[in-house]
Amino acid sequence: MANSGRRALLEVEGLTVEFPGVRALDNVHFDVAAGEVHALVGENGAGKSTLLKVLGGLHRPSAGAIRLGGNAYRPRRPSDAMHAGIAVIYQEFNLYPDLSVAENVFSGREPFHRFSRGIRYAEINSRAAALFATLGVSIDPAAAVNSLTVSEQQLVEIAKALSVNGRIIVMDEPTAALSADEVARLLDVVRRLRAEGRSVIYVSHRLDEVFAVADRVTVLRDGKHVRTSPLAGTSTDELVRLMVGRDIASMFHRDDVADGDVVLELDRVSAGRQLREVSMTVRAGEIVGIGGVAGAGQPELSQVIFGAVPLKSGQMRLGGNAYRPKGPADAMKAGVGFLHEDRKTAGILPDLTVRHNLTISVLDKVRGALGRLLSPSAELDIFSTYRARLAIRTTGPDQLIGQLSGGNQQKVLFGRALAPGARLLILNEPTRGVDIGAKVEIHHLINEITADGAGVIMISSDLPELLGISDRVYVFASGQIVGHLTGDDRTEENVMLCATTGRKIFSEAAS
Amino acid sequence: MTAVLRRVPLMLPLIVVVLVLGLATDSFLTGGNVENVLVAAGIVALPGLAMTFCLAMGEFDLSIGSTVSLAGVICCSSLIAGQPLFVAMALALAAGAAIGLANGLVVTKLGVTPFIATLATLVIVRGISLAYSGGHDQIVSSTGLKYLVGGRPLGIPMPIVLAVIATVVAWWAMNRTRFGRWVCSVGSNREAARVSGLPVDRIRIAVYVLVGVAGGVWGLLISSQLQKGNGQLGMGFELDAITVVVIGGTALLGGRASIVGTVLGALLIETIRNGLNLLNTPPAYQRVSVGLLLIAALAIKGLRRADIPVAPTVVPEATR
Repeated sequence: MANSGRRALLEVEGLTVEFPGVRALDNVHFDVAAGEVHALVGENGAGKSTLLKVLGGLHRPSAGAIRLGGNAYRPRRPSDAMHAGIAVIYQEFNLYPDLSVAENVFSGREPFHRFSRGIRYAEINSRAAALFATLGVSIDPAAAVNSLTVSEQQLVEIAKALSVNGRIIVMDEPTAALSADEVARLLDVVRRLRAEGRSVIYVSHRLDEVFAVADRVTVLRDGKHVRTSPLAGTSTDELVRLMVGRDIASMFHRDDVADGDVVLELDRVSAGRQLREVSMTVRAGEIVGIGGVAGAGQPELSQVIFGAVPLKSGQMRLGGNAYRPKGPADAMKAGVGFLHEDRKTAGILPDLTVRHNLTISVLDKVRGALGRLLSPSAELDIFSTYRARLAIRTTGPDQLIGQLSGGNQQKVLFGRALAPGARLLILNEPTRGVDIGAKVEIHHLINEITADGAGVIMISSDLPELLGISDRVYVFASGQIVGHLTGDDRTEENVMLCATTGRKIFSEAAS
Repeated sequence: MTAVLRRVPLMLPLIVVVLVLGLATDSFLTGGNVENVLVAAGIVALPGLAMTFCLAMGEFDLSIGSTVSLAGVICCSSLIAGQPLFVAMALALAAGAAIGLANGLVVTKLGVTPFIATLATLVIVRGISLAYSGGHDQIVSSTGLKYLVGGRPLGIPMPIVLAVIATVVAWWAMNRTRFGRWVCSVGSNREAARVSGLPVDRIRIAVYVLVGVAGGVWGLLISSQLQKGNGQLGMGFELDAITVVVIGGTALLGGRASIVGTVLGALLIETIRNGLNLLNTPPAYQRVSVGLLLIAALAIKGLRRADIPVAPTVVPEATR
């Protein structure tokens, strides 16, 4: 093994996890050295999460062995993992939103006064502050967790892991919801953990982060181990190829689509708490990218166009006509489709089938002869149309949407947004949390949508994506447009410059 | 057969209970007694069907017990005041609808959680009913009203006829109409439903009105049985209505509903009550047994769910 110089702290051998009808992990082996950052990559469904859940004591393997510091490690429940010094930080945080930061960090292990049995708040607050100091960040230990940003909550989870003296800290997609600044801070924290001699297992879809922070990488595909190797001497293309098992022609591809008429026009639009005096246009066949740090007014922009927040001042025109939607239903009727950034909380209907999820916005179109009754055949038509068009991988119309992979759930939501006949599509983080294969497919799909004559507004915090497939990019800062980049001006540097310094850059060609 | 037993979870316990009672008593499997069970089940199934929509939406309505009382009091006192039967009944149903509308508006427009909002309505309506009846029985003698429970069109007791019709309509509405789909969508993910352009508030209000009207129907049936209205009637009925739905397998958190389950739940509960009567069990113990049944039903569901982390039926990553 490449890392023979250091003794392995964690060794996984022949690990197999079987669920009814599925072999989620198949004879997987890898090892993690003390003081190593070990990246774990693979597409959704490759088995990464299952592996993490085995390490965290949530799943029990059907075969194979794990050794920790030379001893057999067989966690039966999450507390076993904690006692063994393995802290898993799942994508879904396990925090009590109403309790304070320090209470969360020491939850279940609160020191208390001998007589009053009261929690020693001064002690946990100072200990939590000390933990944050070692991470190089400052978070008020007495603040309620629900007052923190996502990235701060993540740091609370990390502090929790440190407080139980976690020797191995496992992070599942830690940057999925973070802005560029926050990602940089998190990577610093990971480096500090390594410098302290702790090991980090880092699971991410974002290969740039993997290259920035990891020592070695293990690639999983379809539940099988593909390769473990040092990152030095490995290229992104190589990793992508190993992950998907095939060549991806081009990561970001934008077809040539001729611009049509102006679909949407905003004239000094203000809305919500943030958005101030924003003017912009979107043409048919165009992909207009929206960039900027998280929360700079992008959510309000998409919501005001979709009628989810009221217009405060200014004017909107859709297809040349004055446009002022009273609500989402109104916007959809006018031909505006919307993809929410949060697939889970505001996207899928988890208890319903794929077919029902697709047709929920167009039930008035699938009503049969008897007026109010739904026509199953009309619904199935819609299902087959979008299953073919969007290449949705599902066992059939009656599969529950929760059983699909993230990428396929996202395609169903694309179908839902398109089904009412959208001529303007607002996409919020269209590829967040989907694997690389699905990402390429979704980009292809966005290209097709514009080729069919619709205009697309794409809000994305993924810079390569934003620059790779948008025709033009508006950059937002503090609720205003501070940059309009076209042609060769569309560079990561320009976007970051506008977004973080508020410096204004407006391309010459843009008008 | 096993497929039916698996898909309709209450079928097996129902069959077992019927067999046990048939063997343990001489009187259970007589025509008259079976009819009694079906009538009782039909009466509780009617509000249960409406409540199924409420639970499918992830909410519930505690106020229905008081609605039963107020509807009965309004109907009976109107009859005493000389109103024709259809006016008296219409007033009672209108009161139910008004209570439902009030619940719906408080829950949607004022943002009060359903538990608190309908608990408050339960108390308020009980007070109104007591005040309106003056604390007395409103005794009537109306053959028309009596027909609601005692009538036998085609020889079949009226409550059974009503329950069968309501079941067919409710099943159809839940599984084949836009309304049912919307209700389950709101129950599955309210925010996603809103983003998908569904009129979420209107759907929620409509369901509360539906439950209110069902409470009115229930009140009319009770008054028809007893030939009186009274501010004390319907105490604890809200729990009966919710119990049959939950036993029937409708998810308490919404998103999925079983109309057939609700009907079977009503049958199971009334069969057990009837059997305990035949076995001379005091009413107090009947309550204990219904409570235990409720826990058992949810425990079985809970145990099934507890399996999931160990052996999910889907690839875990696919749930992301």
